[in-house]
Amino acid sequence: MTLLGAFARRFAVFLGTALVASVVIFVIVQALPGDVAQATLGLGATPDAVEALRQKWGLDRPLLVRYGEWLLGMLHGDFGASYLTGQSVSGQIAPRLAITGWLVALSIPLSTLVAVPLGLVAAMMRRRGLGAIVNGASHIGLAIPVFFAGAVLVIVFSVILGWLPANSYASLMTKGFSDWARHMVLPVASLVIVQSCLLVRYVRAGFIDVLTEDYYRTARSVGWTKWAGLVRHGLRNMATSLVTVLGMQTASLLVGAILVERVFVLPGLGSLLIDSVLNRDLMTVQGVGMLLVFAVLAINFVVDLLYFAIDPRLRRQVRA
Amino acid sequence: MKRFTVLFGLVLAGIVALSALVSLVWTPYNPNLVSSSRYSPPSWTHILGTDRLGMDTFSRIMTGAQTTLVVGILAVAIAALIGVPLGIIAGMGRKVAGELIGRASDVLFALPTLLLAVLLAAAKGASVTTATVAIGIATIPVFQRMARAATLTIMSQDYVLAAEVSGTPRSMIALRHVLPNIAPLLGVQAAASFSMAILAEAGLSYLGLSASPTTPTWGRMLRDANLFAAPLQAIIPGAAIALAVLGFNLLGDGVRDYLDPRLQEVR
Repeated sequence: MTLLGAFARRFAVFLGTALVASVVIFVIVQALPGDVAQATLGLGATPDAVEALRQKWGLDRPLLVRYGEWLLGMLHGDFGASYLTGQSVSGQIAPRLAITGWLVALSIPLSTLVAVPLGLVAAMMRRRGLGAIVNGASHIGLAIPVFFAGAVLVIVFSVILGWLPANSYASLMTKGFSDWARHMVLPVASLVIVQSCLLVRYVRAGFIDVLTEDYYRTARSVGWTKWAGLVRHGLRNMATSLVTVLGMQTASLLVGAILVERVFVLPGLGSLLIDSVLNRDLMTVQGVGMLLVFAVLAINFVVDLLYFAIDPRLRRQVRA
Repeated sequence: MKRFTVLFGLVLAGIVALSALVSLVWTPYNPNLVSSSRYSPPSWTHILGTDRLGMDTFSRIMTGAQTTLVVGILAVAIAALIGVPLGIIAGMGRKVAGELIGRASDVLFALPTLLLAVLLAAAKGASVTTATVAIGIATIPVFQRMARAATLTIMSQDYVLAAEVSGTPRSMIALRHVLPNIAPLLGVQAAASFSMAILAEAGLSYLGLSASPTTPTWGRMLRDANLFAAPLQAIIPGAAIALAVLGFNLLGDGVRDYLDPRLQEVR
């Protein structure tokens, strides 16, 4: 199999999973027992009123037709129209994409930058005080929900110190960089704190694995220092598992972003999703949900490709 | 040191369980009793103060432990009861079955817990039940994968071969040889998933997608707290969540080391 063939196979799996996921989402939202029109109007509604609403929303048509329409529309970037307001779902999503996008795009590299050095320290000094402190702190951090971390940051930096704003958002386009940055610091910080605690544990375990490898012992025995051995051999070996974890964590990061948006009242995808759930605006829920799942799958696909870039053994295996 | 952390976990988890149990029969105040003393600081009459409606925070924290535990236990039970049999079938059965189950589990794995809960809440209305079911379903792949991997190891053992040769039906092998041997691993997984379920439920409560407002939950208390007027009323439920999760995590690590010393964390 060639390298291109391996890519193509993974791409096919990615698209296939996305397709199945779209069916799952559609079935959960639209096909589960329980009538949306009835639920929207309340139990006291007359059957005629319910029927009229069903017709207005097109719910009287067969499920398969509705699914087909939704899927075809999405391929053209059209996520349908909200049942409640009649607004196009894509039109609602577009302005919010940037906020959630920035949250995730800033948190992933920042938490990696925090976690790799700390994990290295925790591994190298695991029998000493500093390592134990890092390890213990990451254990505690794992237990902290991201919205609690956000709330504490607000209490400290907005309420007590009054340094940074809370409960508002400034757009990068209209308000300029510094105002935007001031509004993004705390949300990103809460994601980074929680995320890096998890990453530290993986990095630590990964580096400890490297310490027991033959190539590391060889490097040490020919006179390399501990740190040189770990940095020059360890980092690249670590990178594979780090990328895996980062890929897996993107899903939880997207979810974390939903929670953080609620804490800081940021008008991102997450708040759109939650607002539409509370209003039972099914088309919007379905569209945003699909977009989020697609993002998770796309990132997993990219992670799969990154393995090839990082690990030459994998490339050789495919070529052979 | 190790013994100390397990003990600490046991104490934290014990406090959560105890407050849930005691709150069934007694709390200092009715947790939903509205009073005129709003946002009062901690005092002898209200140990942890009162919230924006003058409700006693201590009583609400105690009652909140109930939801935390019940959702955690039920969600893990749902995940294990569905995931483990699927995993064993995937590990023992025909290749086609294994492949199908594996693919389905991959799709489910791509759906974050919270998103699944959000979708269910959109379709069926937000409630503790949808939250629990969603967390349970989202955790199925974790149990399925673990059970499959463990089953594959057991299936290559000589005693399984002996059982097969002597004509033991496959269902009997699954029950008598596979299940008891993978049980310790599943116990460890259950402990880990339990903390994750607590965290997930707290998140859903925080978003208003779990229990109704009349049921006190820690996540909802944090949601309702005004960070500017009474920051303490946010810190208390937040700390309750964090300490409960930490407690069950530490306890889970202890259970892991006890059940299977081979899995012990490298140190």
